[in-house]
Amino acid sequence: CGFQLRGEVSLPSELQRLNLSGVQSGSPLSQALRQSLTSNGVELSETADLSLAVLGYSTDQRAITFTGTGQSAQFEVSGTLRFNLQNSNGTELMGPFSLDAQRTYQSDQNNTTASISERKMIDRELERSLVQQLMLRLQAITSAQLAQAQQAAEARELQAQQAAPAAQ
Amino acid sequence: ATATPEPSAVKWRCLPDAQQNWVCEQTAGTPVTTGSGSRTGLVPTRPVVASELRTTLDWIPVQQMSAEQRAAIAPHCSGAYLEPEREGLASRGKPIDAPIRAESDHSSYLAGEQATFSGHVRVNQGYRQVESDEARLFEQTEIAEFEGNVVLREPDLLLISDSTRIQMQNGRVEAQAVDFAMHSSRSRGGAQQLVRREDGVIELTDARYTTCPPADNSWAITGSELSINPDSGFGSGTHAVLRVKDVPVFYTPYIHFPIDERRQSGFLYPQLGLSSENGFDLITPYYLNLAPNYDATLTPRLQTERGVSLESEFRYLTRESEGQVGGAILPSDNLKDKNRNYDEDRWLFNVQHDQQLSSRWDASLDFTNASDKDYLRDFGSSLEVSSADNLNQQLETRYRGGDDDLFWSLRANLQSFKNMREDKDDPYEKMPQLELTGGWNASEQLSFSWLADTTYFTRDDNWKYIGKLAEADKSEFERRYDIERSLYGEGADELTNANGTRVYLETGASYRWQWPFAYIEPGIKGKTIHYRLTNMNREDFNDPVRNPLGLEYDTSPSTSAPMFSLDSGLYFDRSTRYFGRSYTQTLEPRLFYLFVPEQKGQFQNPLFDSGVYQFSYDSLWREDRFSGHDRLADANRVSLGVTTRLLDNEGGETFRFAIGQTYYFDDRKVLLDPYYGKFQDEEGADSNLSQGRQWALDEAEASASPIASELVWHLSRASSLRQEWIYNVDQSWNQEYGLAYHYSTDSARMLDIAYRYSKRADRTIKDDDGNAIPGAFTDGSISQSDISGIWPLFGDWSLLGRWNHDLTNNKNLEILAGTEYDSCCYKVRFLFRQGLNGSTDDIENADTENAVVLQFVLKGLGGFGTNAQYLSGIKGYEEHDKSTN
Amino acid sequence: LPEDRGQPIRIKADSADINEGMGRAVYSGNVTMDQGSIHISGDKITVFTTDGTVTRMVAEGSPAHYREKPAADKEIIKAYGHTIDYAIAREQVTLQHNAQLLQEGNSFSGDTIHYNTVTQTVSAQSSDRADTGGRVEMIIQPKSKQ
Repeated sequence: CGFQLRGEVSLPSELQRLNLSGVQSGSPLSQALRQSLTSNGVELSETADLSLAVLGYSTDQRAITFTGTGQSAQFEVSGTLRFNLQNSNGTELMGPFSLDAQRTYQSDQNNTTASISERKMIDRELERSLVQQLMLRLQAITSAQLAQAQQAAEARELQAQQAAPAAQ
Repeated sequence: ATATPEPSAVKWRCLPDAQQNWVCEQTAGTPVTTGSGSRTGLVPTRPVVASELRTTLDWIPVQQMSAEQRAAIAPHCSGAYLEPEREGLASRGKPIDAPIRAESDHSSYLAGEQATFSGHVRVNQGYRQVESDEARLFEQTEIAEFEGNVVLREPDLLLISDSTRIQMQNGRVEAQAVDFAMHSSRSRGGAQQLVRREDGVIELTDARYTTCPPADNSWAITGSELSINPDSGFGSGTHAVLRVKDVPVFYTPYIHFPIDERRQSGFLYPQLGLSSENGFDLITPYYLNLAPNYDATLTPRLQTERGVSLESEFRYLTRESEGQVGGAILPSDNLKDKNRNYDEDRWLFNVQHDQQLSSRWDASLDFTNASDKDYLRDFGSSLEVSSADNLNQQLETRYRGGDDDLFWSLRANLQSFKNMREDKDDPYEKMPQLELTGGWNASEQLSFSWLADTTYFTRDDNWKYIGKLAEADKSEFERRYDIERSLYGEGADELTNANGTRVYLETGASYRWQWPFAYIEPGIKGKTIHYRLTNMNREDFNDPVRNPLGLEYDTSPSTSAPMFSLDSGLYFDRSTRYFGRSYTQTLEPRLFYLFVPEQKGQFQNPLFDSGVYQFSYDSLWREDRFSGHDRLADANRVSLGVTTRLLDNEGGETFRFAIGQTYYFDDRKVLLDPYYGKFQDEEGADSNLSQGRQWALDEAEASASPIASELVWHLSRASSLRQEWIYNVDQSWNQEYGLAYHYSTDSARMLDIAYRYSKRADRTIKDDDGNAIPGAFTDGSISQSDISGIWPLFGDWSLLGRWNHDLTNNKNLEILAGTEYDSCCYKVRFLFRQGLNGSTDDIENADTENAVVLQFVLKGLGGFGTNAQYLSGIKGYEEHDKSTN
Repeated sequence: LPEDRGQPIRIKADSADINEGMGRAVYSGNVTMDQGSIHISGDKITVFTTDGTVTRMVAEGSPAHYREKPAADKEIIKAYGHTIDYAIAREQVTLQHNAQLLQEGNSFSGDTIHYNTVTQTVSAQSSDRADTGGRVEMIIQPKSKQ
């Protein structure tokens, strides 16, 4: 039915060396991002020309089903990750992209402390799902798109300089 | 006899340049000095222009706007204030440094003394321009006086008055009989007397202020004194009266309001309501902007059934910290009917504080407490609030060390809960918890992880909900007003009364082979739990009632277990076309094997923070069946699953479907509830186990897990469909089903339709007094529909509502129906709300609360406040309210 | 300067048409007139005299120039206009048609400007005739710059 094993997913050369910014190193999201990027052949270093900048990551919880007497029965946790690609002086090349994912879990009526542990597990799974979507977005970027984005960014930077030369 | 000049319009114009010598150039018909075109034809006289300007105030209707201007106007507005092009509009710097250029029909000037002008006077200085019939400039004192149809223009300010006096060197303006408009804050007003001080603050006496377009008197604030501060973005006033269609509606001795969007919250709009429980309900919030980085809101509230209460909230923001302190107090609640807290003070207090101690070290406090358990249900105005089970009381600090490859984090956490339910056990508290987690990415493939958690769990000795106070034991007053009381006591099973310290250690390693088309990741882990229990008295262990399982008295049980896992997956791609668009379709089969040998005797371990995960597609790939660290679940299973995605050319996931199942090689022996284990050991003794426990036992012996599937489909940019479906093959019934459709084009149109089903054990039926009728059971499953949305009707009216219906018990959980009229400068919202107040676990007699609410928003004056809480049931309402404000 | 009045008047021109009887002399062709600190120049200057003393001078040019130092501590006043009518007896200079006067860094322009050489008051009018539609303009330098 036309499926073949995925061939070499070659990220454009500029994307093979990235600086990851916008996440606190050691945080679960940063670990998930790091692990996924390195296992897809991306070398992470502070001095890379391009940087993958996390603009915002937030989770929000809402009660979605209730017991017959209006007590919360199930929660829905939704996570949103916003990111973009920037060049070395911080001008946006591509993006901003916004990804979202949802999970539901049960509010354990008689053991709130257990619900909190379940929520921790759900957060990790949300992060993995968002990072996976992010990787799919990166892998879809072609070097042509990237080159064109870089020119556009340089043009914008030039224009910005002319517009306010004596910006002291 | 003067020679008649040739009719040439050649004019000489000489101006002093920087070095004080003259630069003269011939200017042909420059607009400045020669009569401009406006002179030709019938030119409206200045009085007509000025008086007309007093009403139009630079308001340009949308028809006369350019497309780009039209895009910038506020929602529901038919135009906007636009500053006309004029000389000096774009000039920077303070006017004081710029020359004064005066133009008129006649002028006379006594050097160094006084210059007078008359006839169409226009004076420009930097970005300031003043036009009037007459003007006098006094050079010594640098004061300018303008008389007659005075039109003062500065960037973002238009001011028309009969007479104006300006101190040119510091910009102080005094004007009489004023009409003004501030273009960017879309506001206008008038005053008998206006003073614009040197610091830019505008003080008005007998003033009027509104954000309604000219000739629209929907609302206005009048006051003996109003002051507007463009720098801080706020206005304030004393003896202010709110007039709706010129009818005084509301008096306030002091008023404080934002004049631009910098600070969303301002004078929060008052709300009138009528609710079946609280009676007439009037909320009038006051907003105090104390400084750019902290503000306060005071909200007096009158509820005829209960009394007068005061709510206050203080918010602050600094470079390293932000937080909020809030409180509410209702002295002596007057409501008798069904009110456990009659005649008592009802209060709620909360504080949230996040502190960044250093780049690696942060701390946070989240503490809420209330006078009684019913507070949220009695005063909360949305299901989201009233359904909350607990108030979190937590102090947490975390330090992250190491670098990206070798990282660790130490977290200290003090957490307890205020149980807000009358019919539920108190949860365990962590007093304290010390958690060290870390990891080491030794290489791209090999990574290690460790976790050490030491926690002291404790809770009140009478933590167990025993039941309701019998009618006979109630006081006469409680019987007459049908007031329920709950009884709490010690747990029957002695082990559940245990408190104590638990040390949990876990360390693991995993090695990941990664190719573009596949990955294999074996992993091993070692886990061990050690307890030091207290609060269990030895005698009860010999009493068969208090120790039904006959456990030996052991205050330091422990359990250890190794874990082996193997995760692997393949990736297949192909390009295909669906619905006329080309996609890359992926096919991702996955296999996950998990082995944990059974560790007996875990019934000795108390249940501090462990529970059963809700089964979902994700749980196929989890290393554990239970949350928390009180059980090391035995496992010998393999999960198979496949995911297929449709990716558009940007890599966006347009469609994703995943389905999977777990196959068990052994029955699951370690169970959460000790009782299951006991009956299981006696080789399947039939028992009158409750249905729930029977299901858990069946589940433990099933050879395969339910089939789990999830689907996400982005139908278009505006709409998406999500489905989650768990089918229990063993019992051949639907275990979980969730279908959610979301549609929103812009913030004016939103529609959410969702249905959720969750198979649950039967429940007992309660009689009128709330006691279970023996032997009477009914379906306890959750089957609920939830439809909510905002939809424009016609003109500026829109419909908003929510219908959350419980199909199992055929009851409405929450109904919200309302209409909203949204005009350029105000919004009126009328709402009916009916919701369960969830006070008791008695479904048959659960009482509902009805409320009718009238809210109005004075746009530009008030942000959204506590009153938007009413509508938190409508998904996405928050951005709708913010965007149309 | 106040003492200019007593100074001799020197006029240079390409040609002169003196009519003693009428008490009028017309000098034309880049004419210049100097009397103390007062200097007037133009294409044509007509000098009116009554019994030997000069009572009035009218200069025409495109434009004609007028310069004078009003007082020792004041800057030189400069003025332009198609016709400059200097009525010495009334100590009044009237500039007409695209008149321009510069005094202590401030500048005035308009159809007609009257300048009193003693009181140094300046007043300007725009002509009401629709065709020229002239407006009076005055520029006052900010204190810091003067």
